[in-house]
Amino acid sequence: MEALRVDGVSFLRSQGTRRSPHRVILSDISFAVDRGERVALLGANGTGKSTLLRLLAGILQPTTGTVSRFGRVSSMLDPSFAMSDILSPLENCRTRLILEGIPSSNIPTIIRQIEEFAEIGEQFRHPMNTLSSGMWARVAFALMTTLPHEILLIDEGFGLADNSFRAKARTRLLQLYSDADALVFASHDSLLLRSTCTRGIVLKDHVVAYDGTIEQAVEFHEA
Amino acid sequence: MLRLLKSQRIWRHLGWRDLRIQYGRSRIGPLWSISTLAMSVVGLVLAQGVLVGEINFGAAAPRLAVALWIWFFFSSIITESTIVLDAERRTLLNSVIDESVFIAKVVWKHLATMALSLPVVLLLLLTSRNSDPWGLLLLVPIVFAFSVALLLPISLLARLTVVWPDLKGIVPPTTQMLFFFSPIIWSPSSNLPLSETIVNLNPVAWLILTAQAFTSTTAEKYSYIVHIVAFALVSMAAYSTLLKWSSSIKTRL
Repeated sequence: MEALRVDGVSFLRSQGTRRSPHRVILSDISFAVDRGERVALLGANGTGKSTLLRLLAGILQPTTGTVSRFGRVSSMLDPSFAMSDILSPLENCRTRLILEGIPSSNIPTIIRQIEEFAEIGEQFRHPMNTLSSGMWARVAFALMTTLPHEILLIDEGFGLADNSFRAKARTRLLQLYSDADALVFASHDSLLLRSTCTRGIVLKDHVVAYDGTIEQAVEFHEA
Repeated sequence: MLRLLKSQRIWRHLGWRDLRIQYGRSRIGPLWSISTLAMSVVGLVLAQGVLVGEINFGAAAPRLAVALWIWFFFSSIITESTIVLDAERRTLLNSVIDESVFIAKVVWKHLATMALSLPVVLLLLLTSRNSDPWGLLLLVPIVFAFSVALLLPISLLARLTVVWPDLKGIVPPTTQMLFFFSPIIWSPSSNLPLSETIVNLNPVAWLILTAQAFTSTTAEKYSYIVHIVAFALVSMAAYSTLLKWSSSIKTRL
């Protein structure tokens, strides 16, 4: 049973110059992700991994082709977007949950869960600019991993915070990966991808250059 | 438009959030917008008094208060629309929310700021015999209609600024120039050359005159309503068409 289907997707980025109005980011991409699959996206910088994730999430629309989603898609692309350092983690979490479309009645419970997981005490109610970078990372991590995810899209791993938090965070990540019905993970960390994913898709020159097992995909990418 | 109504929870929240960020470190917070209006009125009354050699606060202040109240709303919206999509780039590229939500946020935020400074306008209207403070109540739906009408031009402006970033440097000073072409420091009944043409071509002038008409006992009140409602309806239809047929600006961010 499919979770995602990509059919002949191309994506051109508008550049606005007369000489080259568009730049090709992705060209004629097709693949499907089944439920239960853990797919790694590999490729050098600028090959369109993040753009493909945004197309899968419905954030961007393809120039041609179609993306079909069979379930609720959650994306973890930028841990700290829409977060202001003037506001407290509490207020920033509320904003992100509203942007996610979470009903108002559920927000207090989810925020409590985030607060408990982040373990930053009273700082949760103070402006973000009074937090250490480790605390920032804890809040961003707790925020992104507290919600249940059906089809999960991740761009690069999480910069895990201090040592005391790392073990707890790793356990939660593994739980998150296993709980998701489908996972698409873009990263340069082949060790992490090998331990997390079963299948690998390599992007090269804007097209899918390889689609197969994770071991062979990593070998292809590193060759 | 239905899409905008459905996303009202998001743009209302983002508008309040912006105000919290803007005034987060300030002791008096959004009350700054009240004091800004009050200080501008006092400053302009004094400046006019110096120029004509006579200070008549009771006559000049209500007219100036209403005009500046509208002017601050209009100019803040136009200026912010040139930067909003760039400022919200990360949010736009990390969520399924489209740019129309941020346009609505800008209008909502400045409507809220405008509502905060309403007591100053009311207070100054009460100081004049020729004022009708209750006209302010009638003015609320008119300002709302004008805000809806503004969705189209500011949406176009915000999108154009992404395509031609130079507009960020051109639009704000041009808008400020419009101040001098609006009946704020001069009256349209004065014998200034082209004053009637300027008022007819300048939507802010139009709204300022409407606002002044509604809050004055002497002016004819309802002559502007039909124009503004028609303007709002046409603009709303055009904006709906723009949302339906235009592609997302996200591919340019």
